[in-house]
Amino acid sequence: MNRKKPIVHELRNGLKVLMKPTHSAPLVSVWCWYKVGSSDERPGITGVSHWLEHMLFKGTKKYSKEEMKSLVEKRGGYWNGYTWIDQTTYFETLPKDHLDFALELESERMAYSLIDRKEFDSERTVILAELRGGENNPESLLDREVTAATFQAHGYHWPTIGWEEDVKRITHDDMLSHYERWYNPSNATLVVAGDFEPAAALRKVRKHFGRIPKGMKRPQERTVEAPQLGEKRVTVEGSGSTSYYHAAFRAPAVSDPQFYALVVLDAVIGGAKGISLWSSGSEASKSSPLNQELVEKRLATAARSFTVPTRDPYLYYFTVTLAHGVTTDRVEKSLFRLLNRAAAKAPTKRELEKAKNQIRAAHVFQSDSVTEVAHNLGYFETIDTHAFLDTFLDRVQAVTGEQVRALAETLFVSKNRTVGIYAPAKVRRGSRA
Amino acid sequence: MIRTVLPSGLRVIVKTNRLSPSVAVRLVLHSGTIADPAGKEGLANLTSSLLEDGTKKWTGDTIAEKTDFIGADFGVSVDRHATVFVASFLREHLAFMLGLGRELLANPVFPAKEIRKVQGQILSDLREDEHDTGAVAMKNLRRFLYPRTHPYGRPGSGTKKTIPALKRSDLVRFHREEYRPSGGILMIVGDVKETEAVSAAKRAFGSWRGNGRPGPPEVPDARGPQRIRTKAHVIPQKSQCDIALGMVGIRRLDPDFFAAIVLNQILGAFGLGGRLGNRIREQEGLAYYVYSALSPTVGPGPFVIRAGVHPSHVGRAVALMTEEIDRIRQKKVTDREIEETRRFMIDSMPLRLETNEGIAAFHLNEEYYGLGPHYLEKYRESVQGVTKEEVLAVAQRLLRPDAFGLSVAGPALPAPLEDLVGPLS
Repeated sequence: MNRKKPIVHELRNGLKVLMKPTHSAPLVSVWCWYKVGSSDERPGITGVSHWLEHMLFKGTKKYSKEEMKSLVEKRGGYWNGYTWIDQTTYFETLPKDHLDFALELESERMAYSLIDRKEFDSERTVILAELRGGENNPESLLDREVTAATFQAHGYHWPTIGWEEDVKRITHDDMLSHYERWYNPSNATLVVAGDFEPAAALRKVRKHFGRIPKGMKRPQERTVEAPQLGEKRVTVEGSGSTSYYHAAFRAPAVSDPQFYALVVLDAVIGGAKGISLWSSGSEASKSSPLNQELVEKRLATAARSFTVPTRDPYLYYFTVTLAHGVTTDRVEKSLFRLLNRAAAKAPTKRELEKAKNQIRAAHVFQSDSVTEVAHNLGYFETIDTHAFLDTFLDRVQAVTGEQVRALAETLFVSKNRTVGIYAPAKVRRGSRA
Repeated sequence: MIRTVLPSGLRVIVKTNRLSPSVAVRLVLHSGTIADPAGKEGLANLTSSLLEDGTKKWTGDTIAEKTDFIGADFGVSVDRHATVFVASFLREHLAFMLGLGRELLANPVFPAKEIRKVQGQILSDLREDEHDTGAVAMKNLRRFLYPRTHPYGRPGSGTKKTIPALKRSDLVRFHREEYRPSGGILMIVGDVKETEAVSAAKRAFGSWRGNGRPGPPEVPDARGPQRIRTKAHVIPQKSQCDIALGMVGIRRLDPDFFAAIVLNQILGAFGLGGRLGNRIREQEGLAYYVYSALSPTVGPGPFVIRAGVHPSHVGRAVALMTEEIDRIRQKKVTDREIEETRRFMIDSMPLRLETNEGIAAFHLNEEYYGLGPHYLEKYRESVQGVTKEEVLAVAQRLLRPDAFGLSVAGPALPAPLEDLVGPLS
């Protein structure tokens, strides 16, 4: 892993450019990040950021929708984009000779997307299909309800895909003003990683982005979620014969010095998953207390914990798939017992060393392609600063057992918790819904 | 790259990749789910799931503690034809992790208590699958493609009936008869010196003996459905239906392999899901995901079209699927389609070969199917050589608009499924 710092530049129009040359493979990865996610939306247009992301694959001034379909693939690359609570991003990774093309494509996207009205209309049903596909999964339904119950005032309240009734009503004008408001150089970060020469790359960046007007940044001020007054509990009834239990604790944001203790705490309780958005789905490591207390003791068939770096305080989240015949009460008791233990007693020297070893290894595994290297830089720049990555491992190393315990003591209290239970409804299988 | 064969018959392949200070390992044994005895479906699956729960040298807890302490990822998975030990770890742990692989594959002890626990987990997965629209749609489609007597027609993960009935003695016997080093393949990729990795592999696996199959077992042909066969499965309280429409595809070593993968790209993979994505998602906005997938393997794997749509759109989506099937076998694909697809398949090779995992998968495939040492060059030439005529011919061979399986799972449909597709056929 290349631990050299990235080269940082800012164009006159405010576009932040991060470049990380790594000559391990003849590839480049270009990511364009926008400081806008679903939490920057307002009720009535929830889901507009995500929908806009779909529209940005449907043609620009230079590239028609038809051409755009295979633009990157025919050059031997792949591309995609995603929207989440704090960010929207687009990328392409392709053979290094196509760097100029990738930069041009992202500049077109930023300033000259078509967002055709007819395409907008036809995409509404695609988004609804995506939303309903998510609802087919009991755990994503429960996650949505738990998150919404936890956040009342902050924009983390609604799901990234939006509320169904908003998605049905968002207008073409809503989308155009969203695009004009947020897709500006001064609200964006461009990241290039891979096999390229920085000075030449910067000239290309200037050529394609230099003339785009500055625009507005994301405001610093955001709604602050007030402390909870007590535990919250939500229930979801649905199909199936399996019960799921979720518990979410409000947790520090990435810029909070306590974030490092949180990463270590999670590694101690459920095993390290790394700090990438993608790793949050992995199951608790086998020797971790979470797995030992729930899965090995046969109360659950799967257990996970995760915490994801976010701009504002978000969640430290636990999910449990209950073993057949086990009650949620029993699972809850076991889970709380192990969390209370973490709050009462600092991890042993060996537990701490193990957690840090895991964090280091996971960090290496998550930096093994130019796509991931570029992703990580842009991800942290968008929610805090890319410099987070320069010191991450050192700051994790410096976390003490007592800091971990103290954080657990603050987090794992009933007033800081939302519990979600998915209870299979008693509907005869095969009957009409 | 170094390739060597140990006296036991285990093939060892090492490739250096210094992208990050980590190593990826895959060890393939020819002991897949198709070796499950009749009535004991799920045995290969259960056996492989228990390897990490205790060996002659270490208990399951010790294995977990040792690997977790160094942050190593590992697991054993099983598919139709093979059991695969997969691991990623920091380079300084190479010798330990190879030793662990040997211990798991050669010396498992199958503690009775752990067997019961894992049986419970598999049963829970099966129960979850019964309410997963995608899993149900695929399971019902398979029944149309392969008869129960065909190895691909049997449930590889087992069933609610077979899993609880499996005994420790079944696992012990399966392991003794099926887990053999001869013919197996050990692939090591990452930040290692090739000669040193070979020595480490010899130290770990040199003394493990046993004659097993030299290669993957034979798999018979399958005809697939000879007319349209439909199955709609209602799962209450779901929001959306999963559609799986399919037929029997090809073997990996089929002479039409390259034409067939180009066909699949154009039909339902290239860009945002090929022609199917263009019609069903882009033009009509019916689905978030729609794609086709060809799974060439030792035997004739399935050729499947998948989509997730609202119950009221199932009829229209299926009509478009059959229209596209019909169109691609009536008329040659365009110059632009075939050129762009070939370019993509050739020029994306550096991307596929970037990470340790990607490199390991490529060379493992090369060795497993005996594709030869210069397969990368052959691959480029073969893809470049695929013509529009060949794509048309293979489309006519594999696809029929009047013979396929159609399986839908989700909320109740507005009309019986056979009526929804009736007018088409």
